[in-house]
Amino acid sequence: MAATEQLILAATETIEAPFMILVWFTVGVVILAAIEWTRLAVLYAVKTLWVSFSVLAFVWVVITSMGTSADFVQHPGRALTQFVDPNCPLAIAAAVVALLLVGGIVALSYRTGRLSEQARTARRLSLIARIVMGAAAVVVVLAAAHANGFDRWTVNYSRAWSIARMGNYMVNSALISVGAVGLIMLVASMAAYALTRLEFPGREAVLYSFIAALAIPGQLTLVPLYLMLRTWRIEAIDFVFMDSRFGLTIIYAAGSLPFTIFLLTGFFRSLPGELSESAAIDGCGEMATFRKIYFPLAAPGLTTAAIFNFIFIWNEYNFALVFITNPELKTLPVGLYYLTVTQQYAAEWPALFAGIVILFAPTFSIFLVLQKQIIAGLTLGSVKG
Amino acid sequence: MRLFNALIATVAVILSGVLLWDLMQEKLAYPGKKVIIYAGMFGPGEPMQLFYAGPPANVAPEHPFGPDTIEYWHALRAAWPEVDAAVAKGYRECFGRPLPPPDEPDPQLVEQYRGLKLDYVRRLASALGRFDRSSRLDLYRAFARAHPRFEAQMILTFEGLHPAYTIGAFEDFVRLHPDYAVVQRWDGRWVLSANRGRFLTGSDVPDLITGSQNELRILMRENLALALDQPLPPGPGIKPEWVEKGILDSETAYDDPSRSLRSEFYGWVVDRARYEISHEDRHVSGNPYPVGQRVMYLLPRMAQTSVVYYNRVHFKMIDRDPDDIPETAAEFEQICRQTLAAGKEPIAQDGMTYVTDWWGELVTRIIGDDAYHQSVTGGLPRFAGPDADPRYIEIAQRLRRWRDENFWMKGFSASKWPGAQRDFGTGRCTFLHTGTWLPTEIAGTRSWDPEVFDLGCFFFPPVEDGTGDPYKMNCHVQGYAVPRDGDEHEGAVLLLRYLTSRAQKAMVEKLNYIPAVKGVAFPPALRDIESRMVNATADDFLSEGPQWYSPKWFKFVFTETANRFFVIRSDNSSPEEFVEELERRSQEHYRKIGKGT
Amino acid sequence: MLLAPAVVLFVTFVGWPAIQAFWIALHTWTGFSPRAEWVGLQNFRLLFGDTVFEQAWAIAGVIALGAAVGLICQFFLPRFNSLGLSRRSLGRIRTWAWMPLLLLLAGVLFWWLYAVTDGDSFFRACVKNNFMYMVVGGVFHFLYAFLFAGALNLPNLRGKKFYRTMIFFPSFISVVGVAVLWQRMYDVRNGLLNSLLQAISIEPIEWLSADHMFYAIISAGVWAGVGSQMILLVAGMQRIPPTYFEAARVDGATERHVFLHITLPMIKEVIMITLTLWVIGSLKVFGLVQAFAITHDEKSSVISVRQYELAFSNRDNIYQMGFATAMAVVLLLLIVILAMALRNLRGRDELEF
Repeated sequence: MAATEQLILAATETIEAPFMILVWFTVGVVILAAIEWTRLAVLYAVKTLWVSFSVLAFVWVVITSMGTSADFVQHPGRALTQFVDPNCPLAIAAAVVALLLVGGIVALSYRTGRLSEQARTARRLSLIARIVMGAAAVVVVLAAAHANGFDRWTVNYSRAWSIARMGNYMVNSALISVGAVGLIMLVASMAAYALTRLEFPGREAVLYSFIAALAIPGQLTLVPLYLMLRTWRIEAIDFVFMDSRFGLTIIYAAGSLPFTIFLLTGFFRSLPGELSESAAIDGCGEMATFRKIYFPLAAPGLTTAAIFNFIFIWNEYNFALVFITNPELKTLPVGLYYLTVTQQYAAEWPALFAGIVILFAPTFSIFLVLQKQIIAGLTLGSVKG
Repeated sequence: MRLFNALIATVAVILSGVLLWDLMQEKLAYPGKKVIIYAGMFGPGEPMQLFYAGPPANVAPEHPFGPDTIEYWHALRAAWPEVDAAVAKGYRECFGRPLPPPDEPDPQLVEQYRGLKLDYVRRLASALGRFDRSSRLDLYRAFARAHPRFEAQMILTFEGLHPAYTIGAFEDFVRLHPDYAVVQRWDGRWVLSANRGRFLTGSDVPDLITGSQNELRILMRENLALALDQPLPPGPGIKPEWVEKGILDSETAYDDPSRSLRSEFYGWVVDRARYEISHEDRHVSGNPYPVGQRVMYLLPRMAQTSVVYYNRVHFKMIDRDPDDIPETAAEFEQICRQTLAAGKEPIAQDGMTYVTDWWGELVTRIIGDDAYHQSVTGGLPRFAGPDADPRYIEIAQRLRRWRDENFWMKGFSASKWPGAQRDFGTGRCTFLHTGTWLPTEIAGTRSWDPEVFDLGCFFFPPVEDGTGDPYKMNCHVQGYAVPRDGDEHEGAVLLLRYLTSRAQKAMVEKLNYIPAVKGVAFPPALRDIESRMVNATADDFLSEGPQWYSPKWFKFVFTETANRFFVIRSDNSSPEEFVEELERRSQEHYRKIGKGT
Repeated sequence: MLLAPAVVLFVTFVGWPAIQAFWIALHTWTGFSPRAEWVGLQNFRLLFGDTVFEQAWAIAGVIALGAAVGLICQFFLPRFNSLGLSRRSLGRIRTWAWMPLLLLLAGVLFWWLYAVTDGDSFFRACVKNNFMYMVVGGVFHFLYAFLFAGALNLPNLRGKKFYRTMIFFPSFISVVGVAVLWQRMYDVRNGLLNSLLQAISIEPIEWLSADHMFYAIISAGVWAGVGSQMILLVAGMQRIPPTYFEAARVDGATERHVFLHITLPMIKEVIMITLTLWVIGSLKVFGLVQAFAITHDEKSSVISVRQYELAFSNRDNIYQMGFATAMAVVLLLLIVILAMALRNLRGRDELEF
């Protein structure tokens, strides 16, 4: 045991930070290149390099966020190697289990890639299995770390979550996003329906004004909105719209209207028109026709638009930066920016990186799960017949 | 049908929920109490507070695993052979040299260490010698968990956490004055901007707001805060005494009713805290006071000045007495050359941050504060041209010479604040020019090894042949303002008196800032300049500089011109070009926006 | 009515403020008190410089000329075909009708950017930076997007999904996250890039020095944005009927030939859409640049960042909301002009399947 300890100590000592990164990088590139050794064209090389760099960047962020800042400067890889403490069989066992799980995920993805597109249930099961295995690996490692008193990994995250208030910010972001998206879906679907299915004078004008509004930059309306919000108050309860999440939600909803209506009109146009005639025969008014028939029909397009709006609003930075200054009410991107600014004083990079991971994690999970929908939606919206 | 209704219902619920939650933020539920709203920078527990207020200077050397407590290291090794290797490694990491071979360890110490739990000892071994705050906090908490008979709170008081004092102050106040409630809003680094919406709306305006003169300037210009040393016009919340004599003179010190509030402060601090009404303020912004009158809008809490910090270890390295500060600028340059030859880098600098302060120092020493004021606001002497003072170009040439001689640290152009502070604190550079808030800020990142870093400071020395102000110091005051639109003026002033009372001296002392109130200890790290500051009179100080009296000129003309001059860039201007461009752009500025803006 | 809520929401929060912006641009306002001072066109005068204002009539004349040519070509010639031109040449004239106006406007813009010396030089630098972002960033953006689209479109690719995910993911996350991440990666002492360079014994580069900062930002922007463009292009490529490819292969065409002469023309529509999005987006870029550094000098600032700094600035305590809104108005003008130019270009080529 002493020998392994010596070995590991020697290894962590001599392999300085940059070399460790380089070693991992080289290994990764070699593996990827080996997988597609059959067609080494320029395209592949560039793509591989690009992707490996992205992966490297994310790995760097995650590993740094698990260490302390002194570690970060001297031995970035130390967080991992310290965990594998030769004196502690639990840690070794946990590491082995985690590696096995990760291997399992890779193997499973490989097999899933071979399934046909139609094998939907199999694919879904495979996805669920992979997610569960990933979560299990993380849990196993963290539990072992905690049992060892090795809380250093998660300390940055818990600090970012509670002290730096990223948890609050996430809740704020979620509330604002969900609220705004719900409102947009309601209002935009009604408007898109009216603009495509119903006949009334000035229809073209309204439609074109919505589309022209796509060109209005947010920066133009920023100052006037600031001015406007100051005059809006509810005297009875002394509520000011200026520094509130509610105000921001409404503004987001209004701001995303042109784009969403643009998207949805294309979609509504593709729906069959006879249904409205049959509904009219049955004696339904416009509103009822819409609610009973078209709304459920348009569900796929609506979900796509909803996803896009959600992501856009979740990531939105400019307006949130200006309109909300109360530290309790900030959203996630603004919160990260302020964390960056305060980290200037502290130079605690690992804590900042924990904040970055917290920022990326929700969008990453949504992306993983809803990938198909998102990509289908992007292509649907762009290339119209 | 159901889908749509479901959607409407969900949206309605969420939106109303958000609205309600926001309303609850605004609702101040303090029935029966008078509410004082206090707007400050960083609250307890904010990352800024935890990281910023590093350990007080007196704690670190007593840390059991500091550099001069070798017996502790030996005792730990003797008590726990399991962590022998880790302890040796920790020492080497910390001090760069191997742990000396053990002699007889103190048996009492060994016994104490034997009483600890192995879990904790392992943690301790892995955190040895680190002085960053987060490590030490973790360690203390780990200690508390492993040894439950110790109070966690007791352990945390080792830290002397600043947040405890801030919270404590307000809690004390409320205890002493139960009919008040203090609502604290921690609005981040830029408090005024964060509250701008409230000022605009006139609702929910804070009753007390903290900041520096520069930050709260707009309140002063537009008379949005109460003038503290002037008789006030009668109005709601204004006591009759204030109408007669003004707040500063009618209120008494908190601790002792026989002293006036004014007497609590150093005279020069009170003077520095005043703002001189300008023509633009009176005739454009609508300030009611006459032009040229000095009005105090800010009740000072602390003062700061700019000094040149130096590393005494480097002085020793070049065989110079560490207390022998340079008496002239030429001597300063000589020391720079000597340390450069000895393998160190003379001046620590972060790109453009604070680099123009060197220019400011040289200008005030050589040309003089008043003359500079004239130049900046459009009078004579000019920067370039026939009416110019030729020494402006000479100063620019001198600064370029400093850069060419590599006085500034390697890679300073791309260094981002606070990189220079950290480099200075870890012994890489000899000098650093910045404010007196530095000792606290680098407490967590500096080296405590006296062979590596030992802090000293001095005011920038006079320049030989300079006809300016050789010994004047600058001074910026930070304090509290009382916004005019606040609802609770009486309570605000009471809280002000409490916060600036000597009972609160501990808070200011822990911050290691230069105090505004008499009777508070001067920060020990700044003892080199203590006598000069404490015995200063109003004449010993410079004006606040162009950033204060001509902010637009400073931002739009000076900073943009300086950007091309100081750091290394592909389109650097030469000293002559710098001065000429400064003059040209100044003229343009006066033409378009006006002088003295 | 069904349309009412949308219209109400839109007009209140988007339409009316947009119009109000023009009004505010004519004032000086600090934003702390309701007092705002009317200054007329002075904000614009400060932005553009007196030279432009003195030449205002000349510029107006030039623009009127271009507009007149456009109108004639677009409407009058076809209607009153007194010249007896063929349909084809009439069609050609119509499609190129507005080119003179656009060229003249471009000329005015370049004249202002490069020949005029008074006015707000910082603002001019910002506009130049925006265009630099558009052009330089655009080149790299589209280059990589095409490369990756082509790579992903090839049949024998393992792990296609993985690559697609990794390339697309950065465009999905907040620009602030990307900016902060890259800012740290570029750090001189501890950043990822310099660590790698150190590992292979190369001197660390000062990525974020004044000279390099903007290009660093552009690179980060490209990294983040390539994914969405790539997806659009891939979708466009996949819509091409495979019969074309088979026919080309039967005829013995090389890969490159296939790509240039079959794939590209077929996805012209998609390219135009992405180009429009990119052009307008690069004019509006804010989050990426702002979060990269606390202060920006004129080499690395863009219009929206400068505007934010002046209107809501924290650091210098100079609050100029009217002036900042004037900048936003100019931004809007630029966007409108460029959008119309692109629409014009797009209307030219209608490809039939």
